[in-house]
Amino acid sequence: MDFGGLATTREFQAVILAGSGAKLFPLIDEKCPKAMLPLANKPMLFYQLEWLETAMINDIMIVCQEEAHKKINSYIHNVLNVSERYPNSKVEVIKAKGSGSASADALRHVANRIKTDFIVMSCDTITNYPPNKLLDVFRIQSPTFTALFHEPLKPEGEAAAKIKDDDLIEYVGIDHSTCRLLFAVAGDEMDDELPVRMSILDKFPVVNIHTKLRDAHLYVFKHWVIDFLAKSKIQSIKEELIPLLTHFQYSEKVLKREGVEKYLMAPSNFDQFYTSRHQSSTGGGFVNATRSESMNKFYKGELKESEVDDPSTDFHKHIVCTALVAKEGFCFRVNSVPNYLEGSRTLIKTINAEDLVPRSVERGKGCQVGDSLVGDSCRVGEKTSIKKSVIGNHCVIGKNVKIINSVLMDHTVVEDKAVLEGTVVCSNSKVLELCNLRDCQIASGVTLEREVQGKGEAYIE
Amino acid sequence: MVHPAIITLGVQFSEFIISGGIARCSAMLYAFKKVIADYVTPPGTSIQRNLTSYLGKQIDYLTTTRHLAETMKSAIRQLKSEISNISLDKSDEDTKTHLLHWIDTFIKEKIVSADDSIVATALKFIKTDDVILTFGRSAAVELLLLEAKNLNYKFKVIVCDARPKLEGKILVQNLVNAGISCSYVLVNSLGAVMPKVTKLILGASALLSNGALLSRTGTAIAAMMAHDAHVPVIVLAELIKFSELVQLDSFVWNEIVLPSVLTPPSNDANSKPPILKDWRDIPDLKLLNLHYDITPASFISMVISEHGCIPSSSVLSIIGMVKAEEEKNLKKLII
Repeated sequence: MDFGGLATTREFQAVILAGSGAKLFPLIDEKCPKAMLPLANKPMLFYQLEWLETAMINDIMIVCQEEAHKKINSYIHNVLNVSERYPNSKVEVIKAKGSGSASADALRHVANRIKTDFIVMSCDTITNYPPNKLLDVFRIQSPTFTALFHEPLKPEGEAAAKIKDDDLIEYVGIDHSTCRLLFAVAGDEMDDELPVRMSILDKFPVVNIHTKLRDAHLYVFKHWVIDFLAKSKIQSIKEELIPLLTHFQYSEKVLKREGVEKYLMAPSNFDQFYTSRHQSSTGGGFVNATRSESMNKFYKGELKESEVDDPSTDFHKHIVCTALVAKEGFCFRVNSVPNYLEGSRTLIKTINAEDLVPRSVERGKGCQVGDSLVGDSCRVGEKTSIKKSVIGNHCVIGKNVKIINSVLMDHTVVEDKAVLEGTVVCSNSKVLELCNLRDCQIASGVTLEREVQGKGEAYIE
Repeated sequence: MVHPAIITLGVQFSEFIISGGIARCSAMLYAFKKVIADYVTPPGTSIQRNLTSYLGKQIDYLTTTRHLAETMKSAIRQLKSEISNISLDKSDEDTKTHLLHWIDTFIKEKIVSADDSIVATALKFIKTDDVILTFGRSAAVELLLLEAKNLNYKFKVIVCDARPKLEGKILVQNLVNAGISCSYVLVNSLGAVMPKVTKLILGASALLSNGALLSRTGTAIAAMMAHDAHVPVIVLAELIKFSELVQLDSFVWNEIVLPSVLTPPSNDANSKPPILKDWRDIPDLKLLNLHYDITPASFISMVISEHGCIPSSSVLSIIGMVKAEEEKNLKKLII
C-alpha cells in the first residue's frame, strides 16, 4: 500500500481505561476483568475497538491493572487477532502499576506516549454514535475538550420502579447554541441547592440545565491537557479534571492560579488557522471571543510570548469546553448490573434477526426463542421459552425453562423447570431444577442447589 | 491518506467557518505548509516528482468538501509550477525549506502586500464626507475602511446585508469598534438609501475575463441600483482573483447551498408558524439557495488591484500580461 508521504502523522490517539469494576460485583472477578465482560456475547472491549475503527483512529492504548493484563493481552492478539482485523491499527496493552483505580493516575502512566490530541474512553462505554460528528465538533471549534452525553436507557419490567436514580443524577449545564459545556456536577455532591456562579450567566446568558443526561465518559482532549495532568495531583478525570476545565471558561482567577497560560501559549497549541478565521467573511466561528489585537499580532509573529501580557487578551476565552448529546444510535455505560441487563437488550435490537439464533443451536420441540441472542452450540430443551435474553456459547438449557430478560454467559447449565427473570448467570455455573430466581446474580463456577427461590440476591459460592 | 490538517481544513470549509477568497486561500496555504513539513518521500521516487501527486490527493479531498475558490486555484497553480521548477539535485530538506519559504513569500507578496497597495490606491478616492456603501463582508474593503479611519478621514459607512449569511453584521461590529459611524440596511432599503450614497465599494470572489464580477449573492443588486443612481462602483480585487473563465449569468455555474436556511427562523413568541415551514411537503415548490452571483461589467466603474486602477473591460489584458510573466519566469529557470 502506497503511504506516499505520510509517515506517522496521526491526528488522534486513543486511550481506553480498563479499570476494575467494583459496582459490577459479582460479575467481575480475577478470571474476568471488566473489559472482558461479555455483552451480547462479545467482550466490552470489542465495542470500543469497533468504534475507534469507525473513527479511523489507528493508535490505541489500553491501560489496565496488572491482574487483568494477561487476559486482555491474549484477547487482543490471539482471539480478536487485531493485526489481521484492523491492519492499520496499533493496539497496545499497558499495565498500570499500583492498585489505585483512579482514571487520571492511569492516564499519567501513558502520558509520555501521547503526542497528539487524544481520546479517552472508559471500557464500559458502549456506543455506536457516529464518531465523525464528535470529531468534527473538535476540529471546527478547536476546544480544550469535547464530551459526549447520553440519555439513560429506560429499564423494563418491575425492576424499573425500584431503581432509585437519585445518586446517579448529574446536573449538566449546556449552552446549546454553541454546544458549550458550562458545568457538570454530580447529584450526590449537592444538598438541596445547586449553586450557579454569576460569572457563568454574564458570559453565557442562555443555559439549559439537564438532569436526564449522563456522562458517557468519552472525551476528546487537546494535547496540552496531558501535560497539565502529568504535573498536577488530580485523581479522577470525571470528578476533578472536567469540572476544573469547565470552570476555566468563566473564571480567569482559577485559570491563573492553576498556571494554565503557559500551556495555552505554547507553540504546539497554535491554531494555524487563527488569522484566516479572523479574515473569514463569516466571522470564523469564534465563540464568545473578541478580536484581540495582541493575540492577532502574536500569531503573526510580531509579538513575543513575554509581551502578550495584556489584560484584554482574555485567555479564558481560549478555553472552550464542548458537549454533545448522543441522539443517534445507542450510547450507554455499563457501570451497574441493571445497566448491564438494559445494555444487553439494546444490543440485541441492533443485530439482524437471522443472526440471533445460529444454526448450531439444537432446539427441542415447542421451544420459543423470541428477541434473544443465542450463542453457538447451545442446547435448548423442549417447551422452553427464552425472551429478551442473551445466552452464551455452549450452554445447556433443560426442558420447561423460562428465561426472561436475563443473561447467561458461556458454558452455563440450567436444568429443567427453572425460572430466571432479570438474572445474570456467569460462565461455568449451574442452576439446578426448579429454581426460581428474580433479579439475581450468580458468580462464575457456582452450582446453585435445587429449588432455590431468590429475589435480588447475589450467589457467590 | 489525507493529512490531518487538510481534514480539519475541509471541515472548516464545509461548515463555512472559514469563508471568503483570501481567508480560504491563506488557510489552505498554512495547511500546505504543515503537509509539506510532514512529508516523507516514499522510497523509489523523488520529492519533486511525488510531492505534486501527493498534494493533488489532498486537493481532491478539499474539492469534495467545497468547490475551490479562484484564489485557491491560482495559488495551487503557482505552487505546482514552483515544485516542478525545483532542480532534481536538491536534497529533500532543502526542497522542503525552499517550498515553505516560497509559500511565505507568496502570502506576503500576493495577499498582504497586494492588500496594502490596493488600500493605498483606493484611499486616494475617498473624499471628506463620503458616504460609502458596501455589501456583505469583504476582507479588502474592511482593511480599506479601517485604514482610512486610522488616517483620520471623515466618512460614513452604510453596510448592506442579506440573509441567510448575514455576514455584514461582523463588519459593522468591527467598524463600530474602530469608531466609524455606520448604518446597517438590508437589500430592501437600498432604494431609500441610494440617494445619500457617494460610492459603492465591493469585494470579489473572482473577476472574470469578460469583466464580470463573481461575488456573494446580492452584490449584483447593489451594483445595479448604484449604477442606476449614477453612483460609482469600485471593486477591490487582488491579482490572484483574476480568472480566465467567462460567465454570462448567475445560473451557468453556481454553488448551491442548503435550502433549509432560507426559511425564516421561527419566532417562538409569534403564534403563527412561519409560512415556509413545510416547504418540502408542497410538491410544486423548491427552494434554491445560490451562493454567488454575477455582476455584469457594465455596472462596474473601476477595478483596483495591486497594479493600479483599471476599467473592468481591461481584465482580460491584465490576465494575459500576468500569464506572459509567469511563462517568462518558467523559461528563465529552465534555461
